[in-house]
Amino acid sequence: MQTKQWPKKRRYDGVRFSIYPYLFIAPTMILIGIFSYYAFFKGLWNSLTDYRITNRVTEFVGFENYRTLFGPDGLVFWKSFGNQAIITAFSVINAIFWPLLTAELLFFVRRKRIANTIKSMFVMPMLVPGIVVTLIWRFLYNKSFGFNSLLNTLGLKMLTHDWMKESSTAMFSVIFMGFPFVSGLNFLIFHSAVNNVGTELYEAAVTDGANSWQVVRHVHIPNVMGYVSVIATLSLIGSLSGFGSILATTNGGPGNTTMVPALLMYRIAFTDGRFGYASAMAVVIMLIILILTAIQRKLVRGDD
Amino acid sequence: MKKFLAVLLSVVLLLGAFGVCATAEEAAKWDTTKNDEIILSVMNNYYTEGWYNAAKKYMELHPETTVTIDVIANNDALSQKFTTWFASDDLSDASDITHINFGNIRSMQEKGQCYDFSQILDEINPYTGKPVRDCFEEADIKTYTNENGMYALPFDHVGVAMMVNTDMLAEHKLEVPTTMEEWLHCCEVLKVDGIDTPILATPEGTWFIAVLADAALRDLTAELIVRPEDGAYDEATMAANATFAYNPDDLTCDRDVVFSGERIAMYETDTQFDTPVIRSVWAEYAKYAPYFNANYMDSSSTEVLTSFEMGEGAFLVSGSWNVGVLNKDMLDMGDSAFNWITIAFPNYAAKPEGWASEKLRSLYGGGNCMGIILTGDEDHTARVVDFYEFVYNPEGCAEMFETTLNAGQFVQGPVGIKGVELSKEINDKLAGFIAESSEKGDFSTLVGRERYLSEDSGTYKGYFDQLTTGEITSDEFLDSVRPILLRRLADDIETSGYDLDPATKDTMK
Repeated sequence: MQTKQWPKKRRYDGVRFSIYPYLFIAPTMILIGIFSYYAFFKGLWNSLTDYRITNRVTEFVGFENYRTLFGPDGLVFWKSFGNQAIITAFSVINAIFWPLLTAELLFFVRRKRIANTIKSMFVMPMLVPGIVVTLIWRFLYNKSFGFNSLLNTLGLKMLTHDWMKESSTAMFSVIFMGFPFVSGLNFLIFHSAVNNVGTELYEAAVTDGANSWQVVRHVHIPNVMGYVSVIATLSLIGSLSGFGSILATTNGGPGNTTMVPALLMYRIAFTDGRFGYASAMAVVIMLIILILTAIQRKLVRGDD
Repeated sequence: MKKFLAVLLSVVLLLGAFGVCATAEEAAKWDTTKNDEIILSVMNNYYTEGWYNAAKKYMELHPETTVTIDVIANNDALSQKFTTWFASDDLSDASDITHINFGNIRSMQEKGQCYDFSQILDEINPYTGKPVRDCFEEADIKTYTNENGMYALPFDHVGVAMMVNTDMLAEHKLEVPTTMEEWLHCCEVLKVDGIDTPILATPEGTWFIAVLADAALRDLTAELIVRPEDGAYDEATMAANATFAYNPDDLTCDRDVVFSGERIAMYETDTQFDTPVIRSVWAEYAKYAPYFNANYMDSSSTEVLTSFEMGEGAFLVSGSWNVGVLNKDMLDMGDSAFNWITIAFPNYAAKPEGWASEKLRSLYGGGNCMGIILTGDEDHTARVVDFYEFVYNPEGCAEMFETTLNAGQFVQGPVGIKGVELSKEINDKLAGFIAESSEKGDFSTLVGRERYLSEDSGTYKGYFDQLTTGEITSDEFLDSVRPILLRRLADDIETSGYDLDPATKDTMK
């Protein structure tokens, strides 16, 4: 049998080989540099100016935008963090609890064919674009259709609402969007995690007389904490920085009932064209996300 | 001899050909040997088929110029485009022709970023052989003229009025209201009969407040227009201001005047949005408010139209651009369709105390406000203006309307170009929107209608919704939103560069 003869390593081979990874990674790094880090530093600089599209000249104003933000004129911004806290709390819980529960229940379905069918059914909705899902929910909350039609049919007219237009129901409506919250991707991650826990551990626990709950509590959960931590971090960041579904449904209303900081920032930038002030908001939002992510990582730390 | 004649003929033909070329070169204000592209951004369903057709026809005529139609999904998308285009002074990425009113027109004019049509008004339109001005009513020309020039040519009109479900009124033994008092009575009866929202409104519904403000405050006109002694006065565009005299019996007396943003700011600074008349405007609105759908300022037009079609209200306060959708839906509804008409807001039988007039004027003015953004050099601008003139004439406009209607789309409102007529059927549906004179939006700002910075919009709308649902009184509303109005006023004064001395001409910050 002929074995492959590697060429003798020349002096510069080491240098050449060590450059390859950098060359391959360079385009990505350059693009990240332009579109993420440059944008960040530009935003940071803008936040120290009165940059506004109607202005003839942009002037350096120091921390004036931050002073406004932390003064009485920034009240709505800080109030919107209250709404954000509620939405994010539910968002993180929903991103973990329901998919994990579903993955656990599926683990105990021993008939493979049925388990696979159920798994596919949970994953299929991933094919529907997010904005379509949001618009379907908007339809469901419509005063004349959706849930109200169902309630009217059941003779429960007194329970009908203009769900997204009434202050008392708007926040609940936003939180409830996406029910039953078995997000395809998170469910898949937990499903893999639960099934990756060594069978010997599971069998040992069962041999020792552990019931299903004890298996979940003492075998599965400690082993999926790493995944919980990652999903919690991603959903926290996604919830704090995203506002698409709110923009497409309540637009922050009625009043400021469902207003969140990122949507407010977006409006100030793209409605008023006050990029300086909006950039100051963006910097504060980013710092808050960083702090919360660090705290959350500290609290929900997985073994890996 | 034959040879001589042949040579002579050839020479004549060659000279003729050169002559034609020379004439064509002379006629074209751009380099016809060079290719270029014009981009036109238009809102979805705003004559989109008509624009596609016009672009195709124009390119057949001028193959050296490509016209690309960029269809914009909605108002938000276009606003964002404007923000992005004007975020820097380099406008090479901006569209050449678009709905210019989505940007800050005054800022664009002062920076020389948009085309001033007043310079071509008296020039010959190459597609009609007549002066550009001849295609338009003088009043419409004024609509798009301000102290800095003319930012668009008229095309059509839009209005805000009411669509009325006459079958529902008949069912409840009511007549179509002819006075504001009768309208209120209709709403009361319908509410008692179980119609929760007799008046449905799309976001344009707040124009009702502008209509009330106009009736209440229009005797202030002389105080608020640019005067000959003002720094901003321009004889060419504001001659009507010099001779203006308010006449309560003449609804058109203020048609051609140009208001002064600075004088309005001065008035607002003095009154702080708190005068008995301003309070009475909001009190008057509060009488009708409980019959409106809640939170309509943030509603979706589609959803409100659906509610109207489902018989949830007898009156729909909306813009003329929604007439087409309703008309089409009614045809699709077949047997379940109902009879409907459009009517203007009626007058008061008795003038409210302290008001200028009992006669209401609604919004009726320039519609499709297509302006030109100066994105390139003179050669490029000449092409853009030429394409614009290709459409903005009786023949081009008629074809635009015809193509639009044939494609199943609807016009935004009555035509704004002389010599173009819509069918009787369409005009009948638009009848309620056509008005002799329009309200002046400037009074709407005086009472604080939708006056806020973005960060205050939610708070303002929250109070407005509470007023509409009767949770707070009109006085409580005005007191609550006053800090918001003053903040916006301070911002307007700062960005406009007003020194609150009209004698000096100010420039934007």
